Amino acid sequence: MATREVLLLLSGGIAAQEFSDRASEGFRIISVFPPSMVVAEVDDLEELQRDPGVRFIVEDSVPEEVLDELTESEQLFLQGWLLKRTAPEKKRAGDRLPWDAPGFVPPDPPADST
Amino acid sequence: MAGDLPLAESVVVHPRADSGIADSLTERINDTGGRVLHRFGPQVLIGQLTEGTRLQVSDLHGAVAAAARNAPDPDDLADLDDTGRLGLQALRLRETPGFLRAKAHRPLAGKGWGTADAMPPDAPSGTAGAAPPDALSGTATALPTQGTTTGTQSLAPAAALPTSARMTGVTAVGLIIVQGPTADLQFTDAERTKVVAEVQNGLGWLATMEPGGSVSWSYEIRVVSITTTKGPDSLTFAEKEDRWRNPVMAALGFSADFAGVTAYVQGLRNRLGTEWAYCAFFTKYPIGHFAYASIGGPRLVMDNGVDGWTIENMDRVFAHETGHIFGAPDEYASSGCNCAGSWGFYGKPNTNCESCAPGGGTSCLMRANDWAMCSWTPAHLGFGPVPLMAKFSGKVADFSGGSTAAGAQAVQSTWNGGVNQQFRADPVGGGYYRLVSLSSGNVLTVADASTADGAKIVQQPWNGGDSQLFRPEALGDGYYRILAKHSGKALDVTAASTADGANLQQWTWGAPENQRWRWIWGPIRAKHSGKVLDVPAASTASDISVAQDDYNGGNNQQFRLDPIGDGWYRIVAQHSTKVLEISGASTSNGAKLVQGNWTGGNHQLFRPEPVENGYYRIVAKHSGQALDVPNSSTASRVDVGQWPWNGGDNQRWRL
Repeated sequence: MATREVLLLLSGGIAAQEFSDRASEGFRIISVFPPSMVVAEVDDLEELQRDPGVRFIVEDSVPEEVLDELTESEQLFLQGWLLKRTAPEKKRAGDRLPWDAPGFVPPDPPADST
Repeated sequence: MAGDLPLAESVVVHPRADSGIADSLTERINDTGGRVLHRFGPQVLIGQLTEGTRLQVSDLHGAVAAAARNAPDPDDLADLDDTGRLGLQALRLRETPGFLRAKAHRPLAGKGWGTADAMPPDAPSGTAGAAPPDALSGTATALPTQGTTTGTQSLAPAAALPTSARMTGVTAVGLIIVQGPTADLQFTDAERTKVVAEVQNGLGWLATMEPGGSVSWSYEIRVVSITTTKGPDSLTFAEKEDRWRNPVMAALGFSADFAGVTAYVQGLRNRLGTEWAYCAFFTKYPIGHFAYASIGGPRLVMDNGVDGWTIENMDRVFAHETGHIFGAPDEYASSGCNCAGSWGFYGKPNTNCESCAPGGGTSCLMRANDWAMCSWTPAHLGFGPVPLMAKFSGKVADFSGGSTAAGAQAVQSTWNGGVNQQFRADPVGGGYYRLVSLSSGNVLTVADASTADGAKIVQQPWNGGDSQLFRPEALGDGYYRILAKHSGKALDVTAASTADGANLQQWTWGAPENQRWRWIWGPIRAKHSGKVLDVPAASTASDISVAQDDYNGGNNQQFRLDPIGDGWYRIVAQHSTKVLEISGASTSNGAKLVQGNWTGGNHQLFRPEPVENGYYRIVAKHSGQALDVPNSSTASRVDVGQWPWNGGDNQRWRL
């Protein structure tokens, strides 16, 4: 069964951390945005759809009325996740090159700059 | 107790710089059975005070009395003199998990001053002084300081705060997006979304690299607007950060300095109830370098451009910097790395350093812009531990006769701490791992790449085949099934034997107990407080009370449950190998949980009984009572005891 990543909006009263404790076979938590959002890898989406603790399952989009119920930071987290999920394949500069490859600056400053 | 001293210290602070008041308070403390140990100026007294003494002293001359753990923040006390301020700051520092951890692992503990391993505290006559500290070590025993990673690593790294000692379990991530007063200092809505997406991508990758799939992230996002303008180009590296960071911390309600960052991160961990925490600033203000972090936390800083790597590599740069947060060193040549040192939670050398590793090492996130994890960075990050214990037998994976020979049969045996019972899990992608024996360097292999039920598990040199790859999948009860990639079959103990020496094999997954495994050491966490069982100061003495405390990853917070029979377990502390027991085999309400030598007594046997998803009550056999945090206290250093089961969250534990 193929594993896929989904974002779950939980029902009222179900804390994200509490929900993650219920993770079972074929269900893995990647991240939580307390109190009511969970990103998970799942095998069986139907099982989650039957779970009373799950209010809405986001895969590629989310209805406006659901979005409107979220706080500003929740919306930002969700939209970031949607962007990550739906963005075209990355074209990475310097893909797989060492961080100090010619033409690039490593992500940490040289010692004498601090 | 502050630091690793066997004292329950308290602090008394009063608002007037009047020595007469301090004398009066000292007298009252003495009269009520207390003792003043330190006096910092006329306003701060530190000593041994009972709760009753604290109550009697509080409000006397306007004084505030508190346990050391709850010592007030000197920044909140406007009238405090400098001496008192320093005394309070030092007391608070001694209460930090990092300080305690450092004290619990003192280098050369117990050695005489004249040991050949170190210079004595007094310089020999004729010399100018003692040797300087080793600035190249990556170990984290220094006190919290502000610092950054540097390309050469020739500077001492910033101290590893206990908020990110190792990458295990759930980590709180505070994303702080800084908004200045002008458009060039502000992130657009689209840019904010992009930042969040990149962070999720980078951390999602890191989570998949951890054996057992137990790493996850809990987020907080703060978009903070400040009115500070850009500073002049002449600002130093540190001044550039101070300029925007300090007002940001003030806007978040913390002290406007680096200490505010530490306080924010510690608070974040408590609020989200996670094991670890750090924060990441995203800013368009000029900064000293486009990305940097403190080794060991608590913060990393990034701009929105990611220099020539472009924003499409923000996820990898973020993951790379997060590696530093958890103690991993750079591995690219121009960083000045070398293959020595002592890095990360396990204090391992930087063996994959490009400058000295054979062939320049292998590709790895800490070396290159690549989604690749070498064999050494997992140890730096503190992944694991990886002795594998079978649920039904309590025995661990081993090799017959402790053999290191290729082809040796894998078996189960009683845990003895031997290196032949320990495995390193190297992630190879797709959720699969090779399980490398620490004694032989060989990997667990399904013999002859058989796909049949009953095929033996042996050790063989790594050949990259699918019969050497395993995928641990969480089963929701703290255990995992471990599936061989080539066959999809599960790691299994032959005939469900509980005997030492029983062979390991693969078998079609059927959900039985003899196909369930766990990494054997782990914390025991109270539901109501999120704190874990802790043997204070990593004491190895018997009859030491076990308390709840913030998780710091120390071995004195790691326990193993050995099944003894009929559903009863003994609970072994990793650091001392002693077992938990109820003091004096008491059956009284409130009797304390302590550690002691294993005798097999019923007061050393416990049964975890599931009471809700993921949580257990832990019942003592001799009394039938449950482990309990008194009064549902959420404070640290509260001794744990037994109490009749009442269903409270202070009696529910996650194993």
